[in-house]
Amino acid sequence: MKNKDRLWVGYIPILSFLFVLFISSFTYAQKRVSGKVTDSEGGSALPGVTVLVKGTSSGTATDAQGNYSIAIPAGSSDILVFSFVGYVTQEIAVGNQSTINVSLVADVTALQEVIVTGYSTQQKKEITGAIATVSTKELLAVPAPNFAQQLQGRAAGVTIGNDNSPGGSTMVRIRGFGTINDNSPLYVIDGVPFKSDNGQGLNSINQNDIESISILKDASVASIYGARAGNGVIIITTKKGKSGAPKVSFDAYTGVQTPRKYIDLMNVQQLAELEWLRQRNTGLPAGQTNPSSAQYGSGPNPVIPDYIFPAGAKEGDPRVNPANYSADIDDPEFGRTKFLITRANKQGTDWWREIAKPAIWQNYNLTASGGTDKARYMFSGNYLEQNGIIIHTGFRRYTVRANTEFSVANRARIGQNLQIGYTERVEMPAGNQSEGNPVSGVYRAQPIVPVYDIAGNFAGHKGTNLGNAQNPVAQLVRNKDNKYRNMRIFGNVFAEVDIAKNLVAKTSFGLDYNIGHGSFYSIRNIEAAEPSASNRLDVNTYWNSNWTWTNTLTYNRTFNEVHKLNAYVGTEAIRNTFRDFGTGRNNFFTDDLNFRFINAGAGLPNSFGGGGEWALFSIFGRAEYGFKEKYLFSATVRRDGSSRFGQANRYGVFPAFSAGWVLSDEDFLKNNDIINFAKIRAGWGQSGNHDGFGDYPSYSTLGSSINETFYDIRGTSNSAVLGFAPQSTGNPNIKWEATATTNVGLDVTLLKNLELNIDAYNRKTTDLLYNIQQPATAGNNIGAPVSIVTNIGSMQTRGLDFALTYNGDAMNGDLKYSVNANISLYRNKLLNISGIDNDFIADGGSRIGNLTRSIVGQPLSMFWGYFQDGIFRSQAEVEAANALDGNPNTPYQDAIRPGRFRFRDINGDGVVNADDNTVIGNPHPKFTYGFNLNASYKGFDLTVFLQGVQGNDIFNFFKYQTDFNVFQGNRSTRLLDTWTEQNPNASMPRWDSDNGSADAVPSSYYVEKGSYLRARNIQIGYNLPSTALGKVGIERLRVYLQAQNLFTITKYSGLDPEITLANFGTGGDRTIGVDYGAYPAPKTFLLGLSIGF
Amino acid sequence: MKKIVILTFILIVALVYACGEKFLTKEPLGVVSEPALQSAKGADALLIAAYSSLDGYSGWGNGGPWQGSATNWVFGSIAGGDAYKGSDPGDQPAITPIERMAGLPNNEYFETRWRVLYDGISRSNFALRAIKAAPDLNETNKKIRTAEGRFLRAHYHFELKKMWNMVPYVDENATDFKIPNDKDIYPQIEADLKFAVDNLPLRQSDVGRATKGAAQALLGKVFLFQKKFNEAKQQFDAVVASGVYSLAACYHDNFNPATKNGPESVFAVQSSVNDGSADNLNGNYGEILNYPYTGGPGGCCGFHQPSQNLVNAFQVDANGLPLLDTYNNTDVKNDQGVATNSPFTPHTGPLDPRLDWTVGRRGIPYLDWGPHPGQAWIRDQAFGGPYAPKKNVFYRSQQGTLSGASGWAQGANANNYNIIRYADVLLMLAEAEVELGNLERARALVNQVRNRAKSGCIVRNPDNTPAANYRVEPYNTPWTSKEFATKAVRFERRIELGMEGHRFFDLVRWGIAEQELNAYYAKEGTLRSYLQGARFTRGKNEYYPIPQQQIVLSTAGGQPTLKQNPGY
Repeated sequence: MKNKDRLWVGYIPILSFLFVLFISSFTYAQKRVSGKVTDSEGGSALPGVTVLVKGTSSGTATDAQGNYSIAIPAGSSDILVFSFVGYVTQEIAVGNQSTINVSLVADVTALQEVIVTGYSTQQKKEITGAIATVSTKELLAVPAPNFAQQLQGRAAGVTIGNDNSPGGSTMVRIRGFGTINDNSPLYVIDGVPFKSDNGQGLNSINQNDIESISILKDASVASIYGARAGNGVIIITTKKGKSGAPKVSFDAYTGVQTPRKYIDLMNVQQLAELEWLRQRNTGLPAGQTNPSSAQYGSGPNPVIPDYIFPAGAKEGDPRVNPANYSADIDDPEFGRTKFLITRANKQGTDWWREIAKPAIWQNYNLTASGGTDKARYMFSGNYLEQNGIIIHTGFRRYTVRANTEFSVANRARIGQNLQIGYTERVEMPAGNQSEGNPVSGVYRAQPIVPVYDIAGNFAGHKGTNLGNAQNPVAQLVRNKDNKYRNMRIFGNVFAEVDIAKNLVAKTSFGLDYNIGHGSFYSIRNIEAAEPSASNRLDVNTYWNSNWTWTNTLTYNRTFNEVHKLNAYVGTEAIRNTFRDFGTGRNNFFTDDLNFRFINAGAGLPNSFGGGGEWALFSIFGRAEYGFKEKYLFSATVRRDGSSRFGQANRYGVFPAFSAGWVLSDEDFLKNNDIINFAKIRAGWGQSGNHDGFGDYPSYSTLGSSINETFYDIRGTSNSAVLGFAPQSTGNPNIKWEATATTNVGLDVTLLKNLELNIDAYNRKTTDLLYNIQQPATAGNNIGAPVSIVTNIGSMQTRGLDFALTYNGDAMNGDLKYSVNANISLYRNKLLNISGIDNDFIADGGSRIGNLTRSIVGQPLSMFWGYFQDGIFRSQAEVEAANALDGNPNTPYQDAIRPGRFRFRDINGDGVVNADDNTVIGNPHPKFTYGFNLNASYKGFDLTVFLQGVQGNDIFNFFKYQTDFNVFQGNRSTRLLDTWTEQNPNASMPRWDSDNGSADAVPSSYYVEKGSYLRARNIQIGYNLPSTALGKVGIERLRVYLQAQNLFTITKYSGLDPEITLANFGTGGDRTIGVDYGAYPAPKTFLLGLSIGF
Repeated sequence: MKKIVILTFILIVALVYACGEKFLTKEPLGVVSEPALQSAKGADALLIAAYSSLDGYSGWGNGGPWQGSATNWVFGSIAGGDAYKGSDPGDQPAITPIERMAGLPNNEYFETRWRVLYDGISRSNFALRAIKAAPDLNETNKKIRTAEGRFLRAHYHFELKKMWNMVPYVDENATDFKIPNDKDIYPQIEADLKFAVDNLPLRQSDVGRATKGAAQALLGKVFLFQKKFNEAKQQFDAVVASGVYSLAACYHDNFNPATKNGPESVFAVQSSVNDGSADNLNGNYGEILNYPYTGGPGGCCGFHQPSQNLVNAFQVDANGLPLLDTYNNTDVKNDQGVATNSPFTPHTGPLDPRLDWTVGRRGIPYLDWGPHPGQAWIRDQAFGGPYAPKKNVFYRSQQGTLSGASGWAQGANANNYNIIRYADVLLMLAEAEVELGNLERARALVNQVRNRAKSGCIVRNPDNTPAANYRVEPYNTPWTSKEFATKAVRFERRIELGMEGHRFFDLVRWGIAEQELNAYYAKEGTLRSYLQGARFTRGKNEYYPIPQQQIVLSTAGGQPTLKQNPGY
């Protein structure tokens, strides 16, 4: 430490003492000014406006009527500063006036807007990195269970996806993909950081409490969060009370969500005829003249039976006598003389309409805030209920929040922010994106199966040749009480002391504590083709405690009016502890709801339990320097130590630098009518990632597992002896994944009303952490191949973010409108994995193998398979293809024959084999966009928000079940046009048994265009006149009507084109864009009300 | 004051660092490190895990239990023509190309089997290292445990050898696992097994552990695969002479969880259910897909349906002897295309009784589950044919006790899979004797097996009448032709060990896979259309392709260490 600094530090206490003395010695030589602050539009009073004597900390706020009164200490400046969020700050010289009425103008350019940038704030004008902000108004315009979903389409460079199920997962990706591991950003709420890899953690935060949201997109700003900021940071500040009379607001909306789309499936007769076609095309076994099926008999034409269980029975068959009805499937006579007698539904069951029904959505939010100059408070309560359009799915949330702040002796502040959230969720059974869930059941279930059997119990596919789908209605009804409950305590306490003039010390202790409890009972699905062995209850619970202790020292000063310095240093300690436990049991005497407790089961209980811990310790600092607010510089450094790394590489240092130049403040652009503001920004920084590969990647361990390492060495048939096997193979030398981002940006305001922001970036991740799979000769770790986390690999994402805002008015100011549009695009490329050329990571597992590959030289998660080049129309085409390799006796492709799909011979060797698999689709969009129009005319307002994705592909895995001969489910009407010798130009291949293995392989047939444009929100509101409301004590009242997803323009044939990740957890980014049976987005109509008192 | 501030600052920095290291040290929870297991107890726990891999399952992340199954139902039975894939065309479509000899190197079934076998080897090696280092193991026990570890390691390597021929051998000293597959590993397998033969006791207190007899039988089999008939005979003779083993009174006792580990079991995969595993993954989960559909036992999924060819092989002549050359000229009657509620009379011609312990067919009691109802229990008869597997199935009376009481996996049961049973040893010995010219000894051995089939239990109707026209007799006339003896021994092996996963490997080592399988596709193709065009190519299809992914993972210095088998 240099001598000079030491001197300076040593004087702090003395200086601050003098400062206090100085202030207090002048307090009684002062004059008083009062007045009223109003809104320049409409002239309504503005309560809560901060009024400050410039250059001092003495100030007040306007009361409920907009009135203020302030004493100006003698000797201090003669200027009053009026500031209020959303309005342009005004400075007025007092002179001799004792009454000053001020009319504040709503902030249009928003350059003065104060933005939270990390551990401090900055004026928008001075920002040199890439930060997007979204206003609370915009955020709350779209109803959603969490703030992240509300960000969709709002900020350039921010891609949001969600699984559409109530309370489900949300994907947040800032500027594409920077790693093959966890690409979710870091969230910081009131200074308390957390991560949520599948986004479900976001559902327990009440977004109505959000005051501001800043998205740190590039490393020059995000690096202050160091090791966890590689994927960007979303900073949220919750609402704080302001001095003034209590303000109470109540917001409510309620409405109905309806299914958006249905799919074309076959009816009972069509499906029966298809079966006859299959058997004839397959070739009847020697001696059989007609096709035969347990349901449709044996004859030249299929005969629709009257009953499906007993299979194929007709009216009058003695077996269908209701006396033979039995639900005891373990009875030896069951299926022989006893049946769950089920009538055929000859009209056909429309399973989609049976499970997708209009559903209620409602949200109520109450906020009260206020305070004095010594104490301020904000309180809120929220109830949100979103029922799913798929019956018996839903999400409920209850939150309460209390934020308070107290001023102590004019130089210190203490306070707290706290939210307690409780959520309840009923998910689709078998989970989203799975062939076993009810959405897949819609096309896997046969239309001939009714919902109920003759006794009113659920009907199923137990009769022969009906496939193995479950009754989707039964699945959902039985699952309705299987709730997952979560309690989250999130908040912090803080103390802030002005140590000296310009020097503030702050300490904050934050806690994010989650407790979850799930209870899942499965009623035995006796009517199913593959019934479970017994009923079963699984209960699991976990707790996760994450505390963060942050200390900062901030120094703010402007020297000689031109040198502005804002600097801070800090330390942060984070500790996370996780424990879980679960148990399950079979054989419950009754399925009664009150009986669903582990104690009540009769079977042998099975349990699991585990835990994990990690800790992070950091030292960081940042300095921002501005010369005349024109030349701007900033530097950041953070040093993180993580328990997840071995001692060799435990610490990582993440630096960042950026600079900005406000061109419009230069003489050559000053007083320019066209360019009102222009700033060029450039920055470079590094940030890191330590998530996505467990808490202990540096350790090699051995463990045990009943399923994988135990063995019944004694031959007892009902007990297994403990065994130990390798569980993890550690790498003590791994270090942080580092993402370096270079960002260049331009902010321009033209013609006063047109604001333009462009950012170009290059993100390169090096030392990419990748679990390198070892050759099998190295053995396995329990449950998976041995893989060692290694820093080997790199990835690059380049892109452009473009945002444009135009504010205008017409009709003498009665009509005001603003239009904003944003477009973002990114190009992702995997540069290296494990140093092997053309190496890849296969993912997207399915019944027909992996559907995606992340390949060196290509973007993440490309679709992989054959190119399908039409159909072999004739024997001549087959023979010509067979001869391509010079030998007509070797087949061109396996199982070749007229009517089969023709796959492309990529390598030109005349045969199609594994070497001809190739990239067949790209799930990454060419660009994404959002378009927002806000208009108001007198009391009316209108919002139109469109959002879209362009140029991506979707792997429609639905088609495996609907378009090929697999699993005897229902089929797409596309199969009404299949190849036969008489119909050689058909669109679909030959329909026979072999089709399920020969044609159904992963190919470009499944790949569809995924572009869509969606009217995410259209809202019409009306503000009741304030004159009328004033009489009844209401300050404002707005009512609105809203339609969400009113229309969607897309060519995608599946239920919904909004397919992002197939799996929202870590590693899910290697399976983008595969539709395995996703929950579709509803169309929603809402009525809303907002009252302020 | 200046000093105080500086001191405070230094103190804070020091504290931060001191706390930092401790604060940042977090050790894994609920697991151990390798040195912690270097004791008698720890080493045995490692050995137990090595046994645990026998079933071919080591975690879903390594592939489905059915893919890696110890029973080789795909690679041995289906590929060998004992069975069709069965089920539904869309379920496990990766089996179809294997059945058609068109399996590609990226087929997940190959990958899984390869992985679980090397997992077993790795676990054996972990155990061997710990046994060596364990201070509290006495020399005798050290030798026995080492012999068990080496026996397991040999077994896993032999399975690899059968499948892929050229495979790397991994011992307990390996640190670089990118090992070339450029050498024949039989010498190492033999060395491991010889050590096991020399050091294992005849009997172990835990029935699941390897014994001297198991090691001798396996070593004999390894010799047989190399056509070292003299050496093979020595080992098999020793097994016979040990007096430890005999044929179970009832053929079916080998496939019944209640009578497992009987006198015939030489070495078996032990299965347990309701043992604390929610999914009963310690049961015979490798066979979980191989149960009748909708209504029968197990509940899923209709795979591994016996072929018409196999069923035909059980036809006998009036003397109760198999139709060695003509068995496939006429078909055993089946109920293809016949609805369950339409009348059907099963085949009336004479049949070897082992048929109905091997194959589930219409009208014949399916253990105690009542008569097999035909179509109602078949998932897609038009695709997979009319038959159901039987050897992996449990009795209704055992449901919930010897079968899994929970979950979707109600088919998992405590039936063991016999890797080697005594009948197998006798038939392998007979083979060696034929090759060595001792035809009458071979006939005696074959007759021993046939006599058990004759005198043992048969499938009976509830009224105790035989379920079909059963007839099986020993060969009563001396064998004079080596050609005939060879044929008879091989045929006996097929019907005795049908559906037990041996067929494909037998055809290959006999050198008759090409003629047998191509003839099979020609005839079965008229029943199962997807078999049309299938072809066994000599010089290629004897061995499966080395998994593509493993070749990629073996890359060192830009070149793969593993070399693909010829023809792929």
